[in-house]
Amino acid sequence: MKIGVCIKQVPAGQNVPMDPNLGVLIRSGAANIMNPYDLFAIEVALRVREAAGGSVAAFTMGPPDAEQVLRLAFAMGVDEGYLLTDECFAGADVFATSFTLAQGITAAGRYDLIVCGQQTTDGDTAQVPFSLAEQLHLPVLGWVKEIEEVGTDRITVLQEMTGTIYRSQVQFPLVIAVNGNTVQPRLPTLRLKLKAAKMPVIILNLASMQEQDPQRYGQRGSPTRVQKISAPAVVSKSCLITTDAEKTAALLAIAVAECGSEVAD
Amino acid sequence: MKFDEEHCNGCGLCVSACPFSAIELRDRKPFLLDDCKQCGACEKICPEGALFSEQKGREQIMETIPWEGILVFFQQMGSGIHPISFELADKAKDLAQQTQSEAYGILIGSHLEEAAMEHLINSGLKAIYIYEDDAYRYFTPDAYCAVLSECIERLHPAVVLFGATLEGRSLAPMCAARWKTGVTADCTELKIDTKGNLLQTRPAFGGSIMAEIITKETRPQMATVRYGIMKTAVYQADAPTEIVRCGVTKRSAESAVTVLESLQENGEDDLSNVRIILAAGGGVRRREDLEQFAHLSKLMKAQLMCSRVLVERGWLPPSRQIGLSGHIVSPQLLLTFGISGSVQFMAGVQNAKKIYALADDPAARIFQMADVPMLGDLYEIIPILVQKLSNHRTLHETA
Repeated sequence: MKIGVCIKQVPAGQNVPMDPNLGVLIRSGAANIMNPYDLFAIEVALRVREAAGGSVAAFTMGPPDAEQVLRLAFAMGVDEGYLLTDECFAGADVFATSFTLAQGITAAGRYDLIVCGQQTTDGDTAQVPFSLAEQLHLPVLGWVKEIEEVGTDRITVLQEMTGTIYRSQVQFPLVIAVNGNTVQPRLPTLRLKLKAAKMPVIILNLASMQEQDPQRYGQRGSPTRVQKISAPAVVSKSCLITTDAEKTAALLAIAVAECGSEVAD
Repeated sequence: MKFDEEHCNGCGLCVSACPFSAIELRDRKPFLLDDCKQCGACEKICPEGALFSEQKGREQIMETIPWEGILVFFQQMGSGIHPISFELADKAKDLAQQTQSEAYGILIGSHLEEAAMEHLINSGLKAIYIYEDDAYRYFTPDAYCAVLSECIERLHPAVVLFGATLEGRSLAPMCAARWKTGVTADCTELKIDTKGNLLQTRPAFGGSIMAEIITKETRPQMATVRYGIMKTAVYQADAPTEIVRCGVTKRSAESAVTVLESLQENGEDDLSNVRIILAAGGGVRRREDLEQFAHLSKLMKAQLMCSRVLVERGWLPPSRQIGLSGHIVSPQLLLTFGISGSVQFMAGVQNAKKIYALADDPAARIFQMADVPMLGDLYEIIPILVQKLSNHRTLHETA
């Protein structure tokens, strides 16, 4: 089985510098990590490979140094890595990001299963897996918490939905998005780490894609645009309490006791 | 539109799909009248590919038919309707009034109860289009997307609004991709300008700042809104909503997804009845320190939650995250320990009745919004608090 997994390099921590004119993140300079949800996605992809055989290829779109997340994917056991990078890919919104990923995946081959992390910690929209599936013309299962069974021609998963859990089944090929509530990602092994450093990263740029029009990619290919940025203005509600630990703890204990006693009433 | 007679099977689907009644069936073949606006609805529905537009692309459609009005996706929940749908209906009404247009709803589902129908009739919207079929008993994104797309073709709305439920957050980006248009997730504010551009505000860039986003040229403009986030005026319906029952084509009822069962009892965490929430944040130094938090939350009979940074560190699962992209919570009492209070976190707690915030940075943003902001070292305070609560508990138990 050919399995693809989409991963993303995101800024570590919460204070990311931003270009106020373009309204996009300044990605260089900041410390970057793999999007935590993508660790779950890689884990799921590897487990599917272990159950059904085949290979796992990781796809990431980003600047050249996004190669770093592919190296981590290799160290976890991923077999191949594709870096989608081109100046014209930059500044993409959900639609253009998904379009570029769909183009890259299609250029790399035919996949039976594409696994995504449900969301990223920078964009935080949870929308890309669904947009990607639609642009690949594939069915999609979102909010997947567990893979129940990998059959020869179909997969059965548990999906978290509003007020319920679905046990759903779809024939390959398809896209799934995992939320990571129950999956524990594996740690890279030393052996794989050593191997990862030597594994080739395959670069896909505009010239590699079926769609050659640069207008379809990046900021120009994005239907949405950030037109204004503002820091939310707030006025302090209450005075800051600065006292010793004993009194602070006492205030907290009273608040809890009062709230708790209302239950009894 | 061009018509390829050789491939036509005479099914007549195009006749019912045409929003302009511009197709007639003559000798079991479609005949295109002058009213044709080249919208491509027939092309989409034709199972044989016998109808196709001369000029492809949505751009042309935009020029020929105006995009007007606001459409709200109503989500069925059980045999009733998710309350976010009515919040959106009020918002839609408001946006429609500002643009001198109408607000509509679409509901896709099955076996809707009578009481829910009453609510729909009193929604204040101009009309609600209902697609009811056994096939829509479970949410299957592809089938729902097909139906919604049919409705969009019919109504040509300028804006489509979705509740940011797990279902709405699946459907909106899919449908937006189908229409090659933009969608903004988890908007905290929606306005409309004089040109009819939807101004979509959401926290961005890691949640530290608010961004106003527009959908430049494509239509419809799509946005999702979390439940309980948007303050809307309660709209008094002045006329009953027209209920339009729509036929379901076999094609739009088909899904690649088979939902084998729905395990109702253990779904997405329901935090609506939780009275006390203890939330831990970046101020927690080591993973093992969370054991103290677990112990403390037990003593408080509180639910332990966290800000996004602990999910990022892999210390707590995403299901524990409070924030616009996590859980929107509304406890009686929220205690935050070591949380700075990003915009995206605060959006998730704005319905908390009382917030006690403990942090060691006097400039922490959360202090501006908390009811009781407290400066202090959580590592110093937790042991004392544990002791106080344990004493309190023993006192009660012996009494």
